[in-house]
Amino acid sequence: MMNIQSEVGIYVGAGASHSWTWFADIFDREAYSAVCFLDERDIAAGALSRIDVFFVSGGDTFAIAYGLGKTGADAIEKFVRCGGIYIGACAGAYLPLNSSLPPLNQFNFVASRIANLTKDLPEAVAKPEKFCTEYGCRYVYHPVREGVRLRLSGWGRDGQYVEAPLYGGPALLPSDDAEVLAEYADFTDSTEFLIDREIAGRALLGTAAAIKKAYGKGFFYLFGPHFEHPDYHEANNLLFEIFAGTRSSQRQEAVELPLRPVDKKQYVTFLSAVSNARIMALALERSAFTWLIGRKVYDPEKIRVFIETIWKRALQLDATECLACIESSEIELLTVQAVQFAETIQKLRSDGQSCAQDTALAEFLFLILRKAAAAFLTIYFHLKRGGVLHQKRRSTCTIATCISPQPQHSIR
Amino acid sequence: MTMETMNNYNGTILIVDLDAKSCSTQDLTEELIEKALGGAAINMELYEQYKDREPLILGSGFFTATFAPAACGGVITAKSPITGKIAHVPFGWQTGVELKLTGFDFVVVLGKAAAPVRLWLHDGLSDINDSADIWGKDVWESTDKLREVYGDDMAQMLLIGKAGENKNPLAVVSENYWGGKDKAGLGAVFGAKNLKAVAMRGLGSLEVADGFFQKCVELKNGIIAGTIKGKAGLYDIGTALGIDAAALDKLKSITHRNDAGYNCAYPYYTFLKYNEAPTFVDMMGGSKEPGCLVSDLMGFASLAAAGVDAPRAMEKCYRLGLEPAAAGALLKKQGAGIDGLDGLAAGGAADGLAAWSVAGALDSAIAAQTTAFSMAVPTRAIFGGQLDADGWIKRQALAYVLGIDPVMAVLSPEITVENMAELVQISAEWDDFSADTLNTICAELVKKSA
Repeated sequence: MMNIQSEVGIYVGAGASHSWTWFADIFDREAYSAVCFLDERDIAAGALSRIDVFFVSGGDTFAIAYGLGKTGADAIEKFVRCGGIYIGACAGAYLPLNSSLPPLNQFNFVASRIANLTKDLPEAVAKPEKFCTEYGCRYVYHPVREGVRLRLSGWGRDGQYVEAPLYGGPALLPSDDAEVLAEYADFTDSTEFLIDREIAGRALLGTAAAIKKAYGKGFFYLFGPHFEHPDYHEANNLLFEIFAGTRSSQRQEAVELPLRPVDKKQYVTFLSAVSNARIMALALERSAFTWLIGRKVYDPEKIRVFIETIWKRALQLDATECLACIESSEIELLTVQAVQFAETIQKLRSDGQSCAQDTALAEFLFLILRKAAAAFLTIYFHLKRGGVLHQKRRSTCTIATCISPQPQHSIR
Repeated sequence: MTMETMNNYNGTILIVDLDAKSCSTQDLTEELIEKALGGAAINMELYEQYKDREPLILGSGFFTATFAPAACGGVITAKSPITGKIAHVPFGWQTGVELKLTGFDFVVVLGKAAAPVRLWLHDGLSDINDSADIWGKDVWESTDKLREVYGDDMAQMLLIGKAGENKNPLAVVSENYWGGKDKAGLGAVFGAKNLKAVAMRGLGSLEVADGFFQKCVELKNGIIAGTIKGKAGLYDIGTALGIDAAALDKLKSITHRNDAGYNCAYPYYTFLKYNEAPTFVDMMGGSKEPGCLVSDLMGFASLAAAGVDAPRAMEKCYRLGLEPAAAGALLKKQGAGIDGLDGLAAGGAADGLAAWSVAGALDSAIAAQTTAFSMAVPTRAIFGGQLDADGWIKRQALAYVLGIDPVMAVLSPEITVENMAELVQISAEWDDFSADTLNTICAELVKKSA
C-alpha cells in the first residue's frame, strides 16, 4: 500500500481496553511495521515527538484522561499543533471533545458535541451492563452495538458507503470547526439493538460517525465506530489513507544482536506459559463473570483477546534467526507475566473470592495483559521492521474451512 | 500419488524420553501415512522403530477429530503384561479427539521416569511434570486435581489409579473418571514407566476438504436411520446380546441418562445413579452429577455375577483403576465383597485370571487369530447384520486405523470399507486410494500385531 511508512504510536496505557490490539492485526495484514506502543509514562517522557500518528482506541475515557493527566493533554495538544495526526476511536474519540467534567476538561480540543448524551435514558432491551455510562449528571448511552452502515462524505468518496462496528463510540453533532467524514446511515444484519429500534434510529441515524478537525499544523480525526476492527477491511483502508504520505521515512532499523539472546528452551517455556493461560482463559469464558473496572464492564472473552494477540505471533518467532535477536531478559519477564496470567485466572475461577477481591484481581489481570501484549508486540514489530521476521502482505481474505469440534457440555 | 493428508493430521509425532525427561518431535511423513494411514497401524510402525526401548504409543486415527462418523477414537499400543503380545487399547469419548487437537498426532513414550511424572500436552507443546502430588491418589481425585491444576474442566486425561501404580496386570488406563476399554493391562505399563497420567487440552483445528462434511453428514444420517434406530444405552445393547437379565434390570432401574462419544450416533455410555433418592434430579453434565458412567457391560455383568452391588463396585473399580470384568471374576472366585477390590488393586499378581477373557465360541475363534484388539467391544453383531470372527477383526482393524469408535464400528454395519475408503479419498484429496488399499493396511495391522 505505501512505500513510506509514517511512524505510528498506539496508546496502550491506563484506561485502554483490548481494541488497540486490533491495530496489530491490520498492520500485519498490510505488512506495516513502523509502529510502537505507548503508555502514559512514555507520553509524559516525550514519546509523541518521535511519531507522526497517534491512535487512541477504546476503553474507559475517564480512566484514559486520568492516566494521561495534564501532562499528557499538553503533549497531545503540542503533538497535533506541530503537525501530528491524532486518531481517536470510541473512547479515543470522546477524549478530545469539549467537556466541563474533570479530568476530561483538560482535553478540550474539538468543539463537536456528543449526540448520545441524555438525562432521560430510554429503556434498555439488551446488554444493560453495556448500555450506558454516567457522564456528570447525564448519561452517555449506546443505542446499538456491532455493525452499522456509514455514508461517507470524506476521503473523496462522497455518497459511498462503508460498514464498521460500534461498541459504545459517540454519535457526534458536528461543530463549525470540524469536517464530517462519515455519518451513521443505516443498520445492518449484524446490528444489535440495545434500545427500541425506532428510538435507536432517531438517536443515531444522520449524526456524524467520523469527523476531522484541523488544529495547528495537524489534525484530530475522531471515529465513533472502530475503523480499526480487522474484520472490516474497507474501513481499515480508509484509516490507512489518512496517514499515507505523511512525513517520515521508510527506514529499516538494524536489529542489534543482544548480549544474551534467548535460547530455544527458554522460549518454549514462555510458549508453554502462554498456552496454559490461553487454556485457562477459554475455560473462564464458560463462566458468567463480568467485572466493572472504572466505568467499563469487562467480560472473560477480553482476556483471551490479549493472550491470542501474543500467542499467534509467538509461534512465528519460534525460529532460530528470530530468537537470536531477542534479549533473554525480555522473554524472562514475559514468561513471568504469562505465569501471572494463569495464576490470576485460577484465582478468579476458584470459589470464595468476594466481589471486591475479584474486581481487584481482574483489574490486575488486565493491567498485566496489556503490558505484556504491548511488550511482546514491540519485540515482534521490531523484528519485522528489521527484516528478521519476514513480512508478507496478506490477501484480505483467505478462506479455509476450519473446524474446532468442542462438545456443548462438560465432558467428564 | 497426490494427497493432502495435512487436512487430517497436524504432521507431528512427539517422542517422550522418560529416562532423560525430555521431549522431541519428528515429522509425520506422507510416506508413513501412505504406508499405514493412521491409528494402530502407524502405532505399529513406531513400535517397531523404537521396540528396544519398551515403547508405549498413543495414536490418533486418520479421521480422529474430524466430522467422520464416530471419529472420536485414539489408540494406545504397547506390549500387554497379560498376553506378552502387542495390544491396541482404544480410547474415545472426547479423549481421542483431544489428543489430535493438542497438535500431536502420535506420542511415543520411551523408557521409565525416575520418579512419578505426568505428560501435559497442550497447543503443540509437551511438558513432563512431576506427579508426586497425585501419586497414590485414586483416579477420580487425580482427575479433579489435574483439571484444577491445568485450569480447565474440559482437559482430557488418560491415567491410572492404585492398580496401575502397583503395576498390577488388572490395571487399566482410564479415560478421565470412567475406566475404558483396556483389557490388556496397559495401566500396568503406565505404572512401570512411573507415568501417572497424560493430560491433554488443545485449542487446535483441522482443515477439511470440499465435500468432506457433506459426505460425513450423509453417512451419519444413514447410520442414524439404520439398525440403531430407536435404540439407546447399554440396556438395549445388553438385551440384544442376551446379558444376564437380573444385571440388566438393575442397570435399567438406576439409569440416569445415556450419552455418546464425540460425533457418535449411538449413546452407549450410560450414567447410573445410586447415591441419592430415586426422585433426585440433577442437571446433566457438571461435576455434581451423581453416580458413574458405564460403557463396559461385561464388567458390570461380571461384578453383578460376583454378588456385589454392581454400580458401587463399578465406581470402586474406576477409582482404583481396576479392570471390572476380571475383578468381578476374581471376587467371585474368592467369595469376597466390594472391599476385596482394594486387595486386588494392591496385589501385583492376578492369579487365576485368564489371559484372554473368553466367553464363547466366537471369542475363542477371535482369540485364535489375535488378542490385539479390546474385548470390551461386543464380539458379535448387535442389532442386525452378520459378524463372524473374521468380520469382527476386520471391523476392529478398520476402526483402530481410522479413529472410529470400535463399538460404533460393530453397531453400525453402515460403516463399510468401501465408504470409508471413499471418505479417505475425499478427505485427503487422495484420488487413487481404494478399498483394496484400506483392506491391505488393515490386514497388515492384524498380521503385525499377532
